[in-house]
Formats: sequence, structure tokens, C-alpha cells
Amino acid sequence: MKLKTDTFYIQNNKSDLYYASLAYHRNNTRKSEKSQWRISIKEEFQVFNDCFINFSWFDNHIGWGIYLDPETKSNMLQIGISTIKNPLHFIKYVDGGKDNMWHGYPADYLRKIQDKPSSIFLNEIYSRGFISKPQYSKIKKGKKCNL
Amino acid sequence: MQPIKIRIAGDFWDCQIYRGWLYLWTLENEIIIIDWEKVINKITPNRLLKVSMNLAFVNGSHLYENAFETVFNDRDIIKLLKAKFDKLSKIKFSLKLKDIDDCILYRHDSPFPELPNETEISNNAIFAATDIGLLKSNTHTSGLKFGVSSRMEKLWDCPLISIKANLYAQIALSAGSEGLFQYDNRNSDDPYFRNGDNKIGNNLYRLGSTHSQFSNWSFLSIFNSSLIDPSYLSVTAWHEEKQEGYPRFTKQFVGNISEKEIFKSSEDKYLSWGGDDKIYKSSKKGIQIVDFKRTYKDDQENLSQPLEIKIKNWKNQIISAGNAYFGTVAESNDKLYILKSDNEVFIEKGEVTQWKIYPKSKYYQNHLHIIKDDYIDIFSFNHDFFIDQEKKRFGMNHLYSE
Repeated sequence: MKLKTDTFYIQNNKSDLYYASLAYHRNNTRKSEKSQWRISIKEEFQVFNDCFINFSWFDNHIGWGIYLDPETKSNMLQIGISTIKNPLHFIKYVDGGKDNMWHGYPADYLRKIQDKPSSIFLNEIYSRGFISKPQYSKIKKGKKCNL
Repeated sequence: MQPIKIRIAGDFWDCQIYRGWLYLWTLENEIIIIDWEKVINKITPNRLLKVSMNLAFVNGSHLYENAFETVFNDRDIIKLLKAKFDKLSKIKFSLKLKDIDDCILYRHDSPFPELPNETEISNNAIFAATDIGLLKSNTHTSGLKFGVSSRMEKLWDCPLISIKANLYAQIALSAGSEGLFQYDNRNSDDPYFRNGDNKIGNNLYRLGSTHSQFSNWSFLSIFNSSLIDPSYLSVTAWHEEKQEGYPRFTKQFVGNISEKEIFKSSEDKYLSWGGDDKIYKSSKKGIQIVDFKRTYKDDQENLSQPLEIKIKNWKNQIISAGNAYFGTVAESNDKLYILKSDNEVFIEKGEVTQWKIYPKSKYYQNHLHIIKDDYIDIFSFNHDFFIDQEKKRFGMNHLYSE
């Protein structure tokens, strides 16, 4: 597999897949157009690993993730900021080449409809108590929501 | 005057009321359809309150009708009616579904594969804005085995976050960053069917390419609301042309007027929204109002100067809003403001799962439905029947209703 120089990868033992951390979501070079991570690369990989193994939020080469507080395992933590510096809590994962080479980024559901988490994902995190019913509804409707 | 409230316990997601039926969506994506008039008859405390209870919840627009003008000239009748509404507002109507089991007409799976982001009912069809597009299913028509047909039709595959129908089977579609669209749910040979460069498909028009969170009808036009890009009024007007010597009218898209022009300000931090003759914008300490007249061509001349009104304890970060005859409704993250047409402010505290008003309905224009964690509150606001419609600041003018 050919990898770009500004990405690197891990191999997930269980599923034999790759995850690339994209530099432009981290190094502020394109911060006016790309959301930025506010968690470390190590955490970025760990969250992907946790989401892929523990949850069924991956379908048709698209996946969704949240970063749960490692201590409480119930509170969602902020994972990034939007291009206008609003806090972001959802991660969108994409397997663009459909070849198990995934990347992720902080999803800004308010600004981009394609970054709105899927209904199945929202229903699952609601069922697990990570978001309330009003939050579930607000996110589905693309409304601003305090998380 | 305080509203009257009926609470129904349950884990609901969405609601609609249409032609005597109350539709409740559960979180399991079931639809429960309730004979609403039967519920009202069942819970009416005594026969002396039967008429006022009916006017409050079943025939909410009757008191606007011309036939009542003569009656309303009699102060004693007004006094009596207000007293009855007041009495009803002090009663706690609290129901469980099992209490009204005999009023449930249908309970079945929703025809839509996922919980809708928003629903509208128009011309005996439910339209659903979903992540897989605009969906439609017939309801309230003869020959259906269930209350809502299990045969769902996909009208468009663009993900939608909000929809609003008008009285002419036209639906405004908000597609977030994809923009604002309009779907005309009728035959293309309709004499009023609009033409223009903005047509992008069968019965489908693009009205704006900037962000659309939700929209509301302002007569033929649509006010598009967004907290991401500037909101705007998408103006449609009647266009007259001669055909074989006779005038022929068609609705034509004129253009968009931005909120900066409407409110004569470059402030874009706060939400603005419209609905018929009123356009509102949240401001630091209250709300700005612009009157919009039903329009033919020169649209800017039909917009009044902005009027600023301060509101006590105003939380200016409004995230969603709508316009009814009884007032304008504005949602912040932790409360719902109802700026009533009698200039009083009614506040519903706490986060809301869903709220709905029905300004384009025939009988339920005075309803406000609020869904919270484990119940739905059905409010009936009855102050607006007694108010001079021309002097109102909050809420649409009923004299202009279509």
C-alpha cells in the first residue's frame, strides 16, 4: 500500500486495516477549511481502534466515532475544533479508496450536511446514554447543541 | 391569558395533527394515531366548558372567522369566553395512553425506515425529511388498511434536515450546506406551476445555494434561516402575462433579499426567521421586527424599517424559531420562548426534543406541541382571537391568512 509522506499508519490486529492520521487536520496549514484535532495522535489512533472494535458504527466505508472519557467511559469529550473554532465532539471515518485504508477527522455537522452523524450511530449513542433525547433530536435536525 | 395544556405521557419523537387525527411517532419508529376530538370530548370536565374546550383544541380557527365578528361586538360574550378559557388553563389535564386507549385509531410501524428529522402533512400525505431524502406516504385517504400507507415513496435522495409545506402542496426543503430547495407536489400542467432557470429536476427547484437550517413560508415567498450563512428571503411573486388576450398568472421566482438588507445591519451572529407578514431577528437584548407585505414586484418597498424590542431575561442565542398567529416561538438551548401577540412572554423551561406549530393548518393554528423526555404537552393559546391583528408585533396577522 502506498502511503503519503504526511500520514502514517497502524495495523489493527483484529481486522487487518490501516488508519492514517492526516496532517492537515492537525498542523493548522489549512485551518480555514479543515477542522483540527485537539487530541493527540496516540489518542486519535486509540479512539479509532476502540470505535472499530467495540461499536457497530462502520458501514459502507463510512464510520462514526466519539471519544469517551477514559475514566468514566460515559462522558463524551471534545475531540477537535471547527474552522471557526467551535468545539467538535464527533469523528467521521472514511475509507475513501474502499481498501481498508481509513482516515478520520473532527466532523462539523452544523456546517456540512455530509458531516452529520448517521441516524444509526446517533440512535446507538442515545441508547447507551451518551447523549440525551433533546441532543439526539437537535443533532439530527442540524441544530446547534451543547454537548 | 394563559394557555390550556394537555399532557400525554410517553416516549415520543415527533407529532402532527391533521383533520382530526393526532399522530405520535415513538422512538421505536411506530406511529400512534389518535382520534383527537374523541379525546377532547372524553376529558372535557363538564358540559358548560364543552364549547370553549372544543374551540381551544378542535376548532382553533373558528373564532377568527367573520361569522363571529357580530358576536365579538358583545363584551359580555367575550368576557364569558375569556373566563372559560382561564378556567380551563387552571385544570391539569394529564393523560397516559392507556387512559385514551379507546381513542387510538391505529398503531403500526412507520413507513419510513428511520426516525424523521422533520415531518409535514399536506394534501393527505405525510412528507418526511430524512437522511436518505424526501419521503412521502399517504394518510387519511379511503382504501388504506392503516392510518398511514405502508407504501413509502422516495421523492428525492438529497439528505434533508427540515421541511415546511404551504397550502398549495409546495414544500420548502432545507438541506443544510446543500442549500434551500422547493418541491411542488402536483402535476406539472398546473396553471400556477412556476418556471425558471432554477429548475433542477421534476417538480424540484433550487432557491439558494448557501446554508439552510430551516425555513418558513412568507405568503408565496420563503424565509431561509441559518446560523452558518446569512439568512435571506427568497421572493416569489405573481407574474401576469397575456395569453390570447386574457391575463394569465404564474408564480415566478424574483430573487433573494439578504438579512443584511432587511435589517439594515451587517450583524450575522444572531438567528433571523420569518413567517407571513413578520420577519424577526434575535439581537443582544431582545428582538428586531420587520413587517413584510404580500408582494407583487418591488419587494424592498414592501419591507418596513426594523423595530427593536427589548425583552427581559432574553437569551439571544436562538437556535430555531417559527411564527404562528398567537405569537412567535424561539428556541434556545435550554428553553422555549413564546413571544405572545398580547406582548406577554411565556417561557417553557428545559431542553426540548421537538416543538411544532401549525400556522398553515385549518383547525389547529392555536396549537403548540412540545415533546420532552417522557411526555408531549399540547398547548392551546387563545388570546389572539381577541386582539387587533393590525397592531400586533408578535405573531402573524390573521387578516392576511390564505
